[in-house]
Amino acid sequence: MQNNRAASKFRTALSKPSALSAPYVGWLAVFVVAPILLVVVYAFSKVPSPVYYLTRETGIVETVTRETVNAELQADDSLIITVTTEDGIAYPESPENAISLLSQDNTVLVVSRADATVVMTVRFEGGGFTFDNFGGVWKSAPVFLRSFWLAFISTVICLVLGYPLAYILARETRGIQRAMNMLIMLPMWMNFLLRTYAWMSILENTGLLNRFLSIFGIAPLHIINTQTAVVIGMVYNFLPFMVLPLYSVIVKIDRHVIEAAQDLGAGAGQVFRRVIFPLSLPGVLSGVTMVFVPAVSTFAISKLLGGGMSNLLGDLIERNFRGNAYNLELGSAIALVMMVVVMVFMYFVNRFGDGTEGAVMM
Amino acid sequence: MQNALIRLADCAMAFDGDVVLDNINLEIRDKEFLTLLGPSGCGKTTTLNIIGGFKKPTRGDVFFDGVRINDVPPHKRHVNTVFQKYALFTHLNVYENVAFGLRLVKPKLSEAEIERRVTEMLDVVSLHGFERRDSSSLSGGQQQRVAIARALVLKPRVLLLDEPLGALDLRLRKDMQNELKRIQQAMDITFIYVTHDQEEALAMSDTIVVMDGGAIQQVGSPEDIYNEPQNAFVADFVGESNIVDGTMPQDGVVEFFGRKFKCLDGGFAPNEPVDVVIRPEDVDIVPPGAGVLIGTVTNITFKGVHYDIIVDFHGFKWLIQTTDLSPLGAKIGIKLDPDCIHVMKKSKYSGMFGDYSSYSAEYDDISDVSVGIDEDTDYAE
Repeated sequence: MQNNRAASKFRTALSKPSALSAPYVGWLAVFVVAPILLVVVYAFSKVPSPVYYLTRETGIVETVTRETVNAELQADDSLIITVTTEDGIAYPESPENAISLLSQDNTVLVVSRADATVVMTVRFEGGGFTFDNFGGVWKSAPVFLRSFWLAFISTVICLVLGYPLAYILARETRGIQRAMNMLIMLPMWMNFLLRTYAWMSILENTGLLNRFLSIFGIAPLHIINTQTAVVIGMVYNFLPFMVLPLYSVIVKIDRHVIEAAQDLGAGAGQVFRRVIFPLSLPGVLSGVTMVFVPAVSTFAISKLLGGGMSNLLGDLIERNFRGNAYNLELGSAIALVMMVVVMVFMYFVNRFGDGTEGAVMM
Repeated sequence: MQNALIRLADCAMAFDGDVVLDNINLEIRDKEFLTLLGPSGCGKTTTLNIIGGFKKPTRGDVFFDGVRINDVPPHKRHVNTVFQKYALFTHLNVYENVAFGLRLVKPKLSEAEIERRVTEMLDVVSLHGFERRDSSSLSGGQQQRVAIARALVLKPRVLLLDEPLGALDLRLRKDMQNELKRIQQAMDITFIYVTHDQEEALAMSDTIVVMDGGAIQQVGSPEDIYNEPQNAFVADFVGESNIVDGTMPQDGVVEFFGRKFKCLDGGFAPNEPVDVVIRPEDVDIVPPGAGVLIGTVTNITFKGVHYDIIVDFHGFKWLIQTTDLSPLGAKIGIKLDPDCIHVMKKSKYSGMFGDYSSYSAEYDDISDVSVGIDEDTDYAE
């Protein structure tokens, strides 16, 4: 009793904000809130588009849209730029008159005409609130469906494979537990890409698996560059995240509780169904969360094992941030929608295990 | 014996060569409150687990109502258990905890029948109205009652209780002792109770089985155990005792400290060496001149109801409980009535207990009741 009182005192002390918590608040602000804030801001911002200002000595005369600017790379690497204004006047009137200078930051072009010098300034102007980006997200609905579907399948497979493993592990002697934990963790200490490359060489049409099968005269399987390969890669990479939380919950189930169930007349199956599984539910929820969430947003796996055929959300976002389709705003909008969908999903998963403590929420 | 409900015959238990139980023979009568009493690691919990079916004896047989049940799994025995740390199903509420066993009964019970029996049982353990409470939100005493109700709702013929009050504070423990006795009488079934707390055992039991080192030391009623301990271990473990070496020149006379005293025991060989037990509360303090023995008070502890004083008789120190305070260093005399002297045969425990010469260390050991709870339950691991 006295211990309890001391413990509760300790908890109240912890629950009070103190000077100690300041660094963590700062940390939260910088590393948690800031990225989310940026994603939200970008997601609702207009995509910057180039605006061209044509200037004479007298000041800005007109702006032109991108469609009317035409740049041609010449054989001698010089650039001939022609601009047509909305009233139909073209600068320069003839290519021979043009002197064009590309300034270093790509924003200022000097366009000359026979009679006058016009400075054209290009500015990428974005900003402003818009929902347009989400229209772009809608176009990638199939990618969303595919990502969530593959993540769902992988999570289910991880649970089906991981639960018995965790259960057996929790019942073993301490030495075996340590050794098996080590084996489960071992791949995680290896580079993620390397692991996935290894699976490439296993699953390839002429890979290890098919060579092994051919020994027994079995026709080669076409796995690489299919969704199956992506699922295999995800299961392989995320299985430890299912096993470890499950294991840590199951291993803590009091032996006496199981004995109590037996004592009250439960056979092995009933003990599992009525006691062990419900008590391990927090572990199941943690495991599902820790597998499903990264699986939804994974990228390299689908690129390497799916051969780019099964484009996933992670790839899409990556391309929008640093690929050909550079578009921070669209990328952010996709990321935001994905986050919301995952949150809704997790909400229902956690509702399912209502009242169980200790589950990793989000 | 005709009415033995459970019989352990030559039961022995060893883990990896460690003998935990050594040749246990025990008969448990129907509807009695029997307590297995002993220190940690004495084998009392192992004995309970053998009766409950959680462990199989390495040797010997277990009979229930005359039928050998060595190979009957726990859930097929007419025995239910209340576990040490309650072992409630934390994912279920109070009602579902109690209903757990009923839902497994075949053929299936109707929901109305289950509700009737759960409600009835919650009344028995005074938890009426707690049905919907979360089992983890209850206090220790309430959790204990749920555990008892959960086990009793199946109407077992025997209820096994493994140090059920060990985790409760002193006040609650006393209340629950009365409560358990009342429940046992109300249900009219056999209770087998494991504890290391001698007060608990004396207060509740019809029969006490004192165990040590995997063997039964004595079986008897609480009065037998307290008044007629069979060896120094029992005399020391149950209550407190001054144990001195003596001899029996003849029946009814015992000699120790070079003096002869009248006693009520007999049946020993002439001049057989014996252990003599004198309970601290049986000693009468008299003025030095009137005493048969004269000693010096060397330590005084106030215990509320009485004083514990340590008295030095020529190097051998006795614990005496008295309500009259004698000052430290005072010379006092003591008087011993014949019925205060209990004579025991020498045993392997002779000389190990009952000497308060190394007063402080041993005193700490015996007053710390909470020492070593649960140690022998994890023997198998």
